[in-house]
Amino acid sequence: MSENRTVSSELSRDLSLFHVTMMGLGMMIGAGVFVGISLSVQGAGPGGLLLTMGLNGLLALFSAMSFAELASAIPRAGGAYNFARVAFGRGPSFLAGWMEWLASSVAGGFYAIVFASFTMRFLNEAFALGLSEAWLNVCVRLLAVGAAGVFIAINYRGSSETGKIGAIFTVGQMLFVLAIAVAGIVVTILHPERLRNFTPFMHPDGWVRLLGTMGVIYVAFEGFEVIAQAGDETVDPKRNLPKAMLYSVLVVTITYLLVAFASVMAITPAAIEGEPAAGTVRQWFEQQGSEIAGFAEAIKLLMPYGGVLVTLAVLFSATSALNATIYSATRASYALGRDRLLPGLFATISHTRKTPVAALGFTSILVLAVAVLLSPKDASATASMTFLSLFFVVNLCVIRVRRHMGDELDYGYLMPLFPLIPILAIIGQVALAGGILMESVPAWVVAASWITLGVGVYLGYSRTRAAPTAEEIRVLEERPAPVPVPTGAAHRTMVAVANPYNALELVQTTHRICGVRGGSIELIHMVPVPDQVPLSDASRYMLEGREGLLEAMLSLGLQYPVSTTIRYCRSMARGIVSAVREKRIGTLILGWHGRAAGGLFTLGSTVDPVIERSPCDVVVLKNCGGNRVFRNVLVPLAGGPNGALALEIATILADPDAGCVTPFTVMTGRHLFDIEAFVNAHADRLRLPRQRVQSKAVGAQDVVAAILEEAKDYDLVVIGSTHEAAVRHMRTAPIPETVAQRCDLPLVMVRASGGIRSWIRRYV
Amino acid sequence: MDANVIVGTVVLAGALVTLVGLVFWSRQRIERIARMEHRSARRILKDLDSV
Repeated sequence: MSENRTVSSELSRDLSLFHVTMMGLGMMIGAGVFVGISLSVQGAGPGGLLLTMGLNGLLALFSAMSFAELASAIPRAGGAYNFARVAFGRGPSFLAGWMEWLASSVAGGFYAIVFASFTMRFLNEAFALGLSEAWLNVCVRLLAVGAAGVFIAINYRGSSETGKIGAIFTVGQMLFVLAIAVAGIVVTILHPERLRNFTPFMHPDGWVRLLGTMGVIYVAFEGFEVIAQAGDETVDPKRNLPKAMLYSVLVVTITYLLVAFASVMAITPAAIEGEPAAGTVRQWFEQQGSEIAGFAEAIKLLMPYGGVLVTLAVLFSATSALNATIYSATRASYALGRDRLLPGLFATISHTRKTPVAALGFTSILVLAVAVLLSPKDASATASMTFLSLFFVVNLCVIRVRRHMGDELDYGYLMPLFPLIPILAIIGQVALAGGILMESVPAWVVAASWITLGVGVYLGYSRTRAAPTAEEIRVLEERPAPVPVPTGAAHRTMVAVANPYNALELVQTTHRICGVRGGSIELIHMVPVPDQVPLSDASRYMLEGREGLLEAMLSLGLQYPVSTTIRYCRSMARGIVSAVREKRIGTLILGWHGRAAGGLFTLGSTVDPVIERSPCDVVVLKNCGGNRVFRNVLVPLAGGPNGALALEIATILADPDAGCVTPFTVMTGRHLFDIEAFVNAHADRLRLPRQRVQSKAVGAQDVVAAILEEAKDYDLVVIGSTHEAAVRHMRTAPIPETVAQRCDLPLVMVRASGGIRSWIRRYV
Repeated sequence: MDANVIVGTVVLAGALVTLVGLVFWSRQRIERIARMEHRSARRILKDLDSV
């Protein structure tokens, strides 16, 4: 009994839009950018600094939109880990959570170092302590450990306190940052000649260096990730989580640009002349001692008490970011423990504080290790690298989830310009990862080592212990073919069987197609278990399907290797598409009852998604049962990509002895289509003598009516489905689907695989 | 004037306009979706498309 007991994991829901927005801002604004400005000017030049901020902001927004869409549909603690689990299953989700844990922990250690570095440098100068670089470094590490320890304790107190304290710190740092921005604007008005500080605009090495600096400081734009983690604790999460993510990226980008601009405008001509080796602003930044000291020195020039102001700003910003990253890392490891991908200890919740105490403990070890061992630049680059990897996965997730589960989930936000936005994000992330390699090899080494370790943990521990979840597709019964199934390139045909009657309708067509294409047959039945029925009772709903599989086996088993599988999934369409992908099916055959679905779907809530998403040839049969002989087959064509397959299937199904196939097109005058040339171009796919395939063209304005009128003289209609995206034909059904609905004859609708789209569909 | 300045300014302005536009477009969508009763992706896209 104790084995079945699950860990109780309720978190209080008391964070508002303001709190979660501030949580994201708190993690982004401040420490990262203060260090990032110095690194960016040195790496890319003063103009490159502004471009780094603007382009990183846009790239961050693309990923934030993906996070926002997923968080609105799957608002649970765990963020990217949960998204990957829903989209790709256990293995990738474990790696996503694993990377998320490291990324946030490294970022936490990085912020602790930044806080300590700025504070100790200020104290060393203000009180003339005279510490050597070695002692200064020791003090920095000790202070970093102390600061991290304080925020570990605060996180232990609970999420509500975390959100509220974070909000207070964030408001404080925003005021300081705004003061710097205002000072920059004032200086620009009083000293417009300093705009010459932006000359030369870029680093002498040009735009290539831009990628490197963008990559290294990308961690400064990470923070909406924390918001995704707060799904279990946010009021009205479907609305507030996406808003908070987008707002925080917008605010942070504008703020960074203003502060970056002020930092460059702050440098006086006298200051540049005062540095013997400095002729430009970029060189001046390089002369300021450590790689992160330039920003503080610039702000000292910008305004009175600039040094104090910067130290206070870093104090507020680094600590709030430290707070948010510890929170994020803890939630990531907690989610792994909750689903038993890590030992259950990680999901232990403190009885008194209601916080995941063990996950916090393990996170603390990582944060403290980074604070002691890594340099600021390497810590920043490592955190950026792991966040880029994580966001790469999330951008794949948003495409996959929308395509495969969009009909099942309840969304609070759907991004515009889908899937262009996540594709652009993926391209940008790959480019930045390449840029990081130019700047910090240790970042790649740490990230690759952690991922390798994660794969080892998953294979050695997590894979066999993971807790099952309701969304998963489950194999209830599976029987291999009694004779060995040819492997390799052999064609595989899958037949989706619903019941015995449906099986009888499908076998004749399956027999003919397999007779030509060869290979093996996979019979599948998806069990339609109602949501309110426990899965343990699924066997009660399997009887009809099992009988159907038996009928099909009796008809097909003598000629072909036939294997059977019975599966359960909340969505039958998703279950079928998943099986097609998993078993590398070449042709999928399924039946359609022939009734118009109405509403959101054209042919039905199962057939439509299966046609749209299956990465294989799809053949949908309507009224094709019994031992029918098709002597006259009509194939309406318009030159679309599915026409060739329609022609091939028509010649397969037509009576081989006396059957005739008529490729048919309606000339509306809107576009030219040479049907004879089309047939000749695909003559190699015809399974009948060419003289029994005679094309026909008529002129008409109403294409559907013309096809239906022509069809009256035929036994069978074979038509290719529309190749338009589903969203394009939501207002009115496309021509092929309308014909399918209205035609009373036996009808076959086909959708051809092939090309880059099918390849992507197979994996994403 | 340095060509990098012109190209950089255009790129930066384009990035900012895109960023602000996408945020406000998204905000408008969130509010409209919040008023919808059924919120599957297909239903939302149909409803957004029909306005």
